[in-house]
Amino acid sequence: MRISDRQLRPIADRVAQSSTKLVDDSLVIEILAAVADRSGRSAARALTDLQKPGITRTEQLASAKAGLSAGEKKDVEAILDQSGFGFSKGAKNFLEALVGRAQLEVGGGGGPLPPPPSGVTADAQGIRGTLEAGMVIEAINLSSAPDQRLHLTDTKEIGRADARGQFTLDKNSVTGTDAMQRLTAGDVIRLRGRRADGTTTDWIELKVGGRDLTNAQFNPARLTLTDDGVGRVGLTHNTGRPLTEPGAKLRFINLRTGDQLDATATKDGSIPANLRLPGKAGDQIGVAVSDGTNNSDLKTLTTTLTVLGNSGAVDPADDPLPHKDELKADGTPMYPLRRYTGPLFVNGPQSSDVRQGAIGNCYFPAAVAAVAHQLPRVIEDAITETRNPQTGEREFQVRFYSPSGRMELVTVDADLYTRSWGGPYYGTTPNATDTDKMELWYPVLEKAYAKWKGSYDKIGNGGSPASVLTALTGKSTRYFDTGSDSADAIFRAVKDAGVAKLPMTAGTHDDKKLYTNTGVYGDHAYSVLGAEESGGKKFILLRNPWGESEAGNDGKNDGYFKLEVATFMKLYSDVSISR
Amino acid sequence: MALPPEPLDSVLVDAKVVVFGEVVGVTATGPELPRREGKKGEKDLQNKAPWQTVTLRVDRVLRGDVVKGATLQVLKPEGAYEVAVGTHGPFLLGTADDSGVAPLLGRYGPDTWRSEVVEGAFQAR
Repeated sequence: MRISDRQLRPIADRVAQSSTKLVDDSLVIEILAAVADRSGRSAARALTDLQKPGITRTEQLASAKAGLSAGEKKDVEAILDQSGFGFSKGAKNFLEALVGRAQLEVGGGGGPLPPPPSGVTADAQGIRGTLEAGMVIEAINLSSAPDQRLHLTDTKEIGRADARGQFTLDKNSVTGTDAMQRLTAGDVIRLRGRRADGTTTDWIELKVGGRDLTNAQFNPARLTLTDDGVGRVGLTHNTGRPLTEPGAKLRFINLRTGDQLDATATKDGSIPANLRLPGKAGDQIGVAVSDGTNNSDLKTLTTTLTVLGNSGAVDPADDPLPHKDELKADGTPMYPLRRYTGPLFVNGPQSSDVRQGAIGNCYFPAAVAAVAHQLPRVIEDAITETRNPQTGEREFQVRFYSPSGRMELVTVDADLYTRSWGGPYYGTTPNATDTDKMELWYPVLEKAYAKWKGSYDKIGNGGSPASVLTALTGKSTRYFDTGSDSADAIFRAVKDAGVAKLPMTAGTHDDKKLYTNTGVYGDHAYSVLGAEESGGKKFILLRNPWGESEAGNDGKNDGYFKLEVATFMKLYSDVSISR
Repeated sequence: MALPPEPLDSVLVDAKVVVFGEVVGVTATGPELPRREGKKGEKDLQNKAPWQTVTLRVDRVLRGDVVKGATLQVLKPEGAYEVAVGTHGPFLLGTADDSGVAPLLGRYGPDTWRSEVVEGAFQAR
């Protein structure tokens, strides 16, 4: 059998290579589209026209006949008479009506022809199929996309169709990038062909064949749960990147109340709009996901998320605005406020309580931890727990000293900007994800400092640890420069101050080259905890305000370390000691 | 800048390759960036070091289609750290661009997380 039409030939080849060699109704519409093309209407456009909503079988035939050339008629006759293919009853009647051999049968419920299969298949060995000759094939794995930093249009070019429109791409050539990270049985692949003029086919979605043992992914960082203030929890997909794979089944369970909500992921890997289930701020919501095969009973939870307070509750008189990096385009906070109800102090203020948040204010926690280490009573006296006289709600009055020594009081509550996944965004203490347990003194102190200075942005772009030592103690500071003061003088000053319980900080140079692989970080402030001599060597004792990442390797990764004085003098630029 | 490291899990999702390795060459460096000068004692000024393209030798593979002993061309983006020949540790690499150069991930590159923390993340998986 010889087929001359370049659109019909790959269709016939595909049937000839299939195991069934059957032409059914869904394949007939591809044949009709191939012959319906004409000057001014491509086969792809014809296919779209043939699938218009409401089109009848008679109209489909008429559309195909309008574009049928003499050569194409001969090719369809060859398919009917010489191919040896099997035909479904409907398909045979349609093709015979097309070439004028029979009347189209429209009775007995014969509706329009169904859309064709894509002609593209995938399994663990690769992706193969037929599109148009020379087309570039681009694809994205929608099942592995939720774990990647991708939008659904971030496709990867995986190959090219040959002169007959056919392509066979093995797994190794199509995988290995974020868009096509893998080709695993059950994965949903979204694929299309691109012509030289830049136009594309419609998206084709297909599942990778084989035994599906890999469940759908779910990215918890892309879902925000918020108390709407009227007894329900709103679910918001907070980014344009996919939350899960299209069609995934989702179950959200309020672990406190037992209420549950089922949903099906949209074709874009999102959730339907306006999803709500009963609950309130602080509730834990379990999330189960299934691709329809794995975890199909939705009994196994993938993750648990925390319901946040209503983000509309920022009180400009009470809550300092976030850093500009955490403001949305409309000026509202990216992260809602959440009320923390833990104890103000647990075992008193300690340096180990202090954890710098995702804000450029290392000078503040470094100084605060230094004061907590040497003079914890100063911090205990600086923060007083009270009740709001109007609302009765819990508040904290915090004392700072201005540079001139004047005492100033700032009142804040313990509502902190919080992520659904990970706790407060700014400074924390241990147990940060537990609103009832997290010790409050450090984040409350930081919030009060931000309010005193104007906002988190005002305190989040660098500063002087010495100014914070003064703000907390009311005392001025002495400054030592490692470039001009001797190692002996600095060691003696630090040692004496340690004995006298005077808070100290040290800063590093703003020289990135100097710090690679040292365990010390440039342009950074540290708490100085004292000095010691052992084994004939002199050491400065330090703490990183991150609460982790230190020089040396004592196995603890808790931010505490010591440096020999010579190394300290090289890596650190200055020391500030409270008077 | 002295922001804390990102949580390792939040960066691992973007990491195509995770290796222990060493920088064996710095092939290009971008222009110096404008600097903010602070007052005496001020820290966290958040000045950035320029980008660098470097050659990285792979000593051990935790994730990715690379082999021990291979050398990779990677991009150290503008940011809070610089690398030099001899810089070593755990390297997380993102998606390579059209020329096959992958960016280093993590605010401080190989100093973002301690080696045992990165190892521990893979043992836990």
